[in-house]
Amino acid sequence: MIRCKGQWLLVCIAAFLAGAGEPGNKVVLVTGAACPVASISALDLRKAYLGVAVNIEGRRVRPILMTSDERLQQIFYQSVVAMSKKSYERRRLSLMLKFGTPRLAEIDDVASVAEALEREECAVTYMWGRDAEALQGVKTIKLLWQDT
Amino acid sequence: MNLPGSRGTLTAHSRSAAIALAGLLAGTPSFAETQHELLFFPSVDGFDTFSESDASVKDSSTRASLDLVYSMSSDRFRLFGEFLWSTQHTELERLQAGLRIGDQTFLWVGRFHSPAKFWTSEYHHGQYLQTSITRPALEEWEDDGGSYPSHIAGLLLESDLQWRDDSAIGLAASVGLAPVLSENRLSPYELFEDSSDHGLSLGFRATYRPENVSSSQVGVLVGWNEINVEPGTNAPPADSGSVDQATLGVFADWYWNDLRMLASVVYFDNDLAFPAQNVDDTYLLGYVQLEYATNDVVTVFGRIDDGIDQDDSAYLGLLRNSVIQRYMLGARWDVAEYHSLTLEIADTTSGASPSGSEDFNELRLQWSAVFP
Repeated sequence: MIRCKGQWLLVCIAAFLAGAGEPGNKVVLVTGAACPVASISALDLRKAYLGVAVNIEGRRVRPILMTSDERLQQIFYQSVVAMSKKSYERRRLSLMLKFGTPRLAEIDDVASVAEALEREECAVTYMWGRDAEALQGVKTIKLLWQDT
Repeated sequence: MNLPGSRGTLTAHSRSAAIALAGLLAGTPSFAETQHELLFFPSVDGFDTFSESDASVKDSSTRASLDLVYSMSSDRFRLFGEFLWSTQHTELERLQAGLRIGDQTFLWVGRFHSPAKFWTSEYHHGQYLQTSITRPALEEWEDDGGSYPSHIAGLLLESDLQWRDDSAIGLAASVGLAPVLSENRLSPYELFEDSSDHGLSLGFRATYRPENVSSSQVGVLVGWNEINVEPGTNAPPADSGSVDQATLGVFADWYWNDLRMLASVVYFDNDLAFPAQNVDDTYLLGYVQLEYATNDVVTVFGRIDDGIDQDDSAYLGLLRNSVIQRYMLGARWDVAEYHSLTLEIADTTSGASPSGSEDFNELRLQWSAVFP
């Protein structure tokens, strides 16, 4: 019986460790290398993801949602738009219902990021720092979150 | 008795408009820069109406609805439509083409919802997005006994101005065709209708938001409508003539953590000009709805619909099914992502003197959702 409980404890610890972020992990905001935007404030970024037109250095910022993993999405809701997933989704639906505002584009595959950012000038999205470093043709313009 | 929403119609105009929308959807050019969006808001609701003192109001019914919202957007141009199908009523609610004339400014032409009504501009026909099942009496649709116009055909300008302190002012102004008074209800202009009886409608809304992206907002509503009587279709004294209706109102939609308040109060000044009656009719209608999110999935809410001098209004007395007072309590359970179940009970008064009023209780249950 004791041995059985011990196994469960080990499973729980392993699951906890697997779910926790590794120290030094970070989430960054990236755009295409050709975009002249070098930085963006947290407020402007929040506005852009909440459907407000944001122009920086004369260029329209075009936000893209990254849905490649659940943890990244949680960080987006907490650190970028500062609202729950439910509230954010209701806002997106409401904008569509009220003004016909199209919902934001989504990417669910890290490999597609470079192509998506190249296709539309000053499109931005968020991703793990390690993934951004491995991609060609994208540049990091903001640190959004860092595991401490 | 005639209950709100009990009209069963599919007019030739609605059919034409539906065909036009279908053609539009099928024939939409697929430019690389063009984005298409399609949303479905289905709902099924059952309601039971009863009174301990008056057995004649006993009634029950079930209604299924599907609201389809489509938009096609490019950088400068947007086409937008909303079509509502239900087991009791089918209508092309909105069809508007818009040109972006500024970062946050659109000029629309077509059929749209009046900017001078707050709830209508906020929720349109998207049942899932509104917490309660019923709309406030002040915000009812024309065919459910609504006392001022919801649907206007003409021009609509919408703009958002952002200030340096990050607050924002939203402006919306419309000019177009008002409904006519037909069969003792307001009948809005339908696209492709050849009638020329519709008078002028002017609407305006100004909204203040303390933060540009905040959901909390307050504002003012102004409207003027020339509501012509369709001769020979209404009970006396509204055989012919017109109603000039001026409205001035305020609204608030405010959040305090898990508590939300939605409220609007509108003052009406109706100038009734009928062959046998000329009346200047004034009254106030308003509502306050409080919503409290007890946790992430359950919200309890209540609403008071009431007014001043509305119960003896000559104008409201002309309208069928016009709710003039309602005390309502309810609860909503978000059973799954994009699905909810809602229960409402209400004590309601419908109809104003001299046509006589009815007091009854309402029990409603609704499933609503949104796809995709």
